[in-house]
Amino acid sequence: MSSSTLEPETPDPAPAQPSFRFRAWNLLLLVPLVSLITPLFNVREPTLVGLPFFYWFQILVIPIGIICTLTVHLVTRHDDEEGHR
Amino acid sequence: MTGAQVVQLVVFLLLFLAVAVMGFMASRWRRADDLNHLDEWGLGGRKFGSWVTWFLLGGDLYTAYTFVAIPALLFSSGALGFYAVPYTIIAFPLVMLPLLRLWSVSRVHGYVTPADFVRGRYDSPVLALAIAVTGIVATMPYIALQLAGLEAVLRTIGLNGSGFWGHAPLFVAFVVLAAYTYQSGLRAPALIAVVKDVLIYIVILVAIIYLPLKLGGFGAIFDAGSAKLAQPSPTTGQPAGSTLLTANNQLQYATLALGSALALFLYPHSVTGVLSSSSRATIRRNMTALPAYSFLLALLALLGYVAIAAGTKPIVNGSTGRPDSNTIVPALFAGQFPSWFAGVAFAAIGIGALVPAAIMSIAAANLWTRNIYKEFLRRDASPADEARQAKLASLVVKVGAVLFIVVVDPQFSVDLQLIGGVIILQTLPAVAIALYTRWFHRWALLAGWAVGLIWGMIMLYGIPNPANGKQHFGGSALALGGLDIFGWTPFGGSKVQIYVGAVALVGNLLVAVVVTLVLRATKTREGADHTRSGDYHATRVPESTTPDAVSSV
Repeated sequence: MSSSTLEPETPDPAPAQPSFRFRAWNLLLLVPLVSLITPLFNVREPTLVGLPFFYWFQILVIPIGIICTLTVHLVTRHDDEEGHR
Repeated sequence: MTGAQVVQLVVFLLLFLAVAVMGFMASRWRRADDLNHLDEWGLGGRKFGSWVTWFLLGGDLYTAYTFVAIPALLFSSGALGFYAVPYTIIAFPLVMLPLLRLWSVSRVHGYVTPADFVRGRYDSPVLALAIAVTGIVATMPYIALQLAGLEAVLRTIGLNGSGFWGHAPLFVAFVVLAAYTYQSGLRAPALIAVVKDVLIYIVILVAIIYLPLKLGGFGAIFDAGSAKLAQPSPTTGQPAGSTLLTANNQLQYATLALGSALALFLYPHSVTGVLSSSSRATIRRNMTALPAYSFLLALLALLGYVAIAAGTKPIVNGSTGRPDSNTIVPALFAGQFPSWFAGVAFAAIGIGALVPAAIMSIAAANLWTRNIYKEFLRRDASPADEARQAKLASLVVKVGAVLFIVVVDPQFSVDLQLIGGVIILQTLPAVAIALYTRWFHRWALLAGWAVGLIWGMIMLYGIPNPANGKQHFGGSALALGGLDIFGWTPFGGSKVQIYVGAVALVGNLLVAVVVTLVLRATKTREGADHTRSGDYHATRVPESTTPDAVSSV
C-alpha cells in the first residue's frame, strides 16, 4: 500500500486504517468478466478437439481467472499477516 | 427392477450408509468443549482451515442439482445452459474482497449470519428481519432442488413408485440426513463433502474421457446436438435451441451469469461456509482455488450433448406421470456405464445432494435463531438455548423442503429456484454494498428491497413458457419488449431477453438512492453504526471489543 496518509503501527485496536484500501492490482480481478462479452466468442470456428470456440474459449478463461486471482492473493496477502490472526 | 438396477442400488446403498456413519461420527471431529453453542453447531467452531473450507464451499456451491440440472438444460435448450461456466468463473474473483471484509467484521463482532451484520451496521432489527426472512425463503426451494436431484437418481435406479408413497425412498434418505445434521451440525457436511468430491471427480473424469471415445468424439457429439436442437419443437414450432447463442439470448446469458455470481454469496449457506473458515488467508486461498470446480462443471455441462448423441431419453416420473428432464444424466450413466460404476455415479450425485442440503438447513436455522427467535421472541436466550433452537429449526426447514417436492412437480421446482435467485439478489444493497459504504439510509434499503422483490415477482409472473404451456412463472428470461414500467415500455417490441433478477436489482438500487436522498433531506434518524472502519480489515479479534456485540445489546 502506498497511501500518503499511512499511519505508523500502533497497538491500538481502534480503527487506524482507512475503510477502503485501493490497489491497482485488484483490477486484475475484473479480467474474468471477459467471459460475459458474448459477441467475442459466440462462434463455432475454430474448433478444438471437436469443441466449438464458444465452449473452449470459456473453458480457457477458467485458468486465466485462477491466475489473476492468485496474483492478487500473492501481492496483497502481506496485509493480513500483521499479527497472528 | 432389472438385475443391473439391483447392482446399482446395492452400490448406492453401501456408499450412502458409509457416509451416514461418517455424519454421525463427525460430532467427535475436532471436538469442541461444548457443542451446545451456536458457533460450534452452526459454524463448526469457526476454525476450518483451507482444505476443509474448500471442500465445504465446493460441496455448498456445486450441488447435486448443478450436476443434474445444468446438463439437462444443455440437453433441452443448448448453449444457454453453459451460462453456469462464466457464472462460476467470475463469481470468486468478484466476491473475494467483499467476503474478506465480511469475514473480518463478523469475526470482530461475533456475527453468525448476514442479517447479524446488517443489524449491527444499520442498528435496525427490522431491516435485519427482512434480510433473514429473504434468506430463509430463498433457501427453501434451493434445498428442495437438492432433493429433486436425489430423487432423479432414486427413480433412475428403479425406485420410481407412483403417488405420494413414490417419494418414500426420498423420505428415508432425508430422515437420515436430518438426524446427523441435528447431531453434528456443520461438522457433518464438512466431513462428508470430502467423500462427495472424490466420488464426483472420479465419475466426471471417467465420463468425460470414456463417453466421447465411445460415441465418436466431441465433433460427432456436437453434430448430433446441433441437429437435434435445430428440430422444431412440436408444441411451439420453433427450434428448441442451438449449440451457439442467438441474437436474442446473449444478453440473458451475460446477465444471468452476472446475477447468479452476485447472488451466490448472498445465500446464507455460502456465508455460513465463509464464516466457518479460520482466517482471511483461508478465504483468499479458497477464492483462488474454488474455480477449479468450474472446469469440472464445464465438462459436466457437456454431458447434456453427450446424452443427445447417446440417444438418452428422460425417465417418466412415477408420481407426476411426465418425463422428468432431471433424469437425463442419471439415465445416461445407467445406459452407458457398467452397472456397478453407475451405482458409484449415483451415490456421488446423491451424496452431492445431502451436503448442500445440510449446510443450507443449518444456515436457515442460524437465521431463524439469531434474527427472529432471539431478536423478537426471546431476547435473553442463552447460547445453549440458541443451539437447541437452531437444531430444531433445521428439522423444520427440511420438512418444508420435502413438502415442496411432494406438492410441486420437479419441473416446477426449477422455476422456484430461479425465483429464489431473483429474491436473494435483492439483499445485495443491504449486505454487500453495506460492506463498503453506509451511504444508503436504512429505510431506503428496506424500500428498495421491497420494490425489487415485488417488481421481480410481477415480472416473473408475467413470463409464459410456451414449451410446456405454462402461462406464468415460466422462467427468468424477460423479453425487453415486455418491460412495462407503469405503462411505459422503453423497449417496445424487442425480443432480446434479459435476466429478471438484474432488472429488479436496478429498480431496487434506484429506489434506494432516491429514498435515501429524500430521507436525508428530511433528516430522518439513521441509527448508530456498531461497526468501525478498522473492523473490516481485522485479522483477529481485538481484545477490547466485546466478541458478541449483537447479543450484548
